[in-house]
Amino acid sequence: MAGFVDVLLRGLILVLTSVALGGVAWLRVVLRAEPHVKPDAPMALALRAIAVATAGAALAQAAVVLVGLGAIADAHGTWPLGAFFQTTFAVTAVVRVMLAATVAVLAATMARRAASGAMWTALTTTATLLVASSAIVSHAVARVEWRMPLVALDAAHQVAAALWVGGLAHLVLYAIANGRSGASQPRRISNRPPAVRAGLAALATTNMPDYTSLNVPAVIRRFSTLAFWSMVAIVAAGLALTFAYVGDPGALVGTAYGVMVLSKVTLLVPALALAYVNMRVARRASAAPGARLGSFVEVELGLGITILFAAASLTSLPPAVDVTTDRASVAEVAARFTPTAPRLTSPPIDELLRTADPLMGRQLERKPVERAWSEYNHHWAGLFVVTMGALAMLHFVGVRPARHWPLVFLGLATFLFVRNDPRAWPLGPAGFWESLTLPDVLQHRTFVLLVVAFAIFEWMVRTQRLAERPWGYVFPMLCAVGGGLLLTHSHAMFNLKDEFLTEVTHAPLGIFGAFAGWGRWLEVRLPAAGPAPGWIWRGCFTTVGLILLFYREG
Amino acid sequence: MIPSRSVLLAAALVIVAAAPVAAHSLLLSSSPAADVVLQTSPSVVMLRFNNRIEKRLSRVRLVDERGTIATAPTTRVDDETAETLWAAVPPLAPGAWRVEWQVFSTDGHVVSGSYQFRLAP
Repeated sequence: MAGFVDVLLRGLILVLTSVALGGVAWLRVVLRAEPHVKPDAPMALALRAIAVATAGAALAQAAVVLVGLGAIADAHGTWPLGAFFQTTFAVTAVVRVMLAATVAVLAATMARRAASGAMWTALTTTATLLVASSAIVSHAVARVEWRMPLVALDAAHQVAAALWVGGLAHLVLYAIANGRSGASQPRRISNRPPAVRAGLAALATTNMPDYTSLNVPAVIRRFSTLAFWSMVAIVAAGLALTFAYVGDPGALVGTAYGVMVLSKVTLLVPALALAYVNMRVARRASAAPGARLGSFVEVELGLGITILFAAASLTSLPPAVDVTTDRASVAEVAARFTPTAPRLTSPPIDELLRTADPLMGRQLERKPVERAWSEYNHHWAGLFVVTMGALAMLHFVGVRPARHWPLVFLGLATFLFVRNDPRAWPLGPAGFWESLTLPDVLQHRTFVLLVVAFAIFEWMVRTQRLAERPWGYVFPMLCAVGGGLLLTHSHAMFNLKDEFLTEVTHAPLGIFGAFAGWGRWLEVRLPAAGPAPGWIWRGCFTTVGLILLFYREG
Repeated sequence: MIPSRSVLLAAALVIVAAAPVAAHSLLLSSSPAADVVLQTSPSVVMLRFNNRIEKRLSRVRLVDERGTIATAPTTRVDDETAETLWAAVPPLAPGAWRVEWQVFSTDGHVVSGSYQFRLAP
């Protein structure tokens, strides 16, 4: 549990510190903020966002320290404070807390009044150090060889990623804030050229964020240039780091670290495609950039944040280049993705109860009956998800009754409730209330309640009992967050190879989940985009079901 | 643990359950080696990892078949490489012994593991 929390906190810190450094670049490079000039509304907004983000980053970084200290105390039975706070990790983490707090105070101060050149320099320096110092709590600092070059490469990679994702965050934030102050739109529209007026009118009618009020397309072009060179640096440093940490192509598919790198690349490709489209729009935008740019930027930001969480999960995995004896072969990985007939018949519960490990015990080995049970559960769950995907497609092509597809979630919830643990009620000897005292069972049943709530909620959206805006955004957000969490999630098992092969399907599940979420987001957000987003999310959703349906553990 | 966790994957689009992350530090080699049969009691245990470790926050202990623990204090001097942990071992009785280790890597991860060796009568 501590490990999972650690990964989530590290991902959160990556996002929040990106908002800080990306915000500084947004202010200095894009909005051209100058010393000794009181910030206007957009600049003050960006500075306040930086202050809030870095305050959060300071808290999250402090929490990472506590999680690490708690894990050591748990293992040692004491709190070795003296030794802990002499480690490179603890010293760096404490310094990062102070850097984040400094950025927060500086940004909050500068949002209220004109700042000197020294304050701007201090803000830029501390924000850069905050992001770059992340390399000192990463794999790079723990490497035995090539330590300092790897720290430098990692720092460059993270600074570039922060400029890209953080800059996107500020672009979206600005647009949202500007969209809310829509009262001034008619006046602005009347002062614009015809092409811009048309774009603004379209935005007004669709209630989209108003990106055109960045006023000069040159501002967007400046951001586009910044994002382009950031991306070049991300890719260049990323390639070098991949060479250092992965080593050879076989490790890309035969280790968890390699698969996570591939996952990051897979998420980056559509983000790059969107960035390319956005850049082209921005560079020829003598007219209004329009709603398409706005929605694409939101999706690009969403994919960027997912990539940052995938990057955080890399910190918990041993570099692929070190995994030599526990590496899976390409054939072994391919076998896990080779479809076979789904197992739709349950293994005998009695046999499972006889042979399985104690419910709360540590898993020492995976027994055949446990594998059969796991596959059976996956396959039935996949059947539910494929059914929902198929019904969602039918609805999309005009079969009206199929709009009730979210109700299939209720079937899935019932299945989860009955099957979540063979030792618990109604299958096993533990009674209903007794089984709720077991953390695993309680966790799963809470999850079942969430599925029921979500089924009813999404059904109400589909049947127009709830408005598509804003309630229609809940489903894509949950898909995207769930997909991202799945990428950060793994189980401690018997050995690295078993663990990797059991979980190798997590990566595509997470990726297709994220794609389904952002496809649906575009469908709701940008009706003018046509049917493509609708087909994308339904296709990805169905693919998730198919992966589950053909899941294999052996 | 019974694989009920697998059920959660079905609805991973909505949320996932928390679980420990994978191991971070890897044990690359050890002395005594895993599953070896020794004729005499080892005087030290040496563990070499894939990354730098914080030795003051890392530990080794030996456990016999009955669960008796033989303390093995780790050396705390920087006279060895940054990725190697040495522990002094008291004289051991014949039988099976499990080496349990737990290290704190320089990048801030606590990782533990174990392996066995046997001491001949």
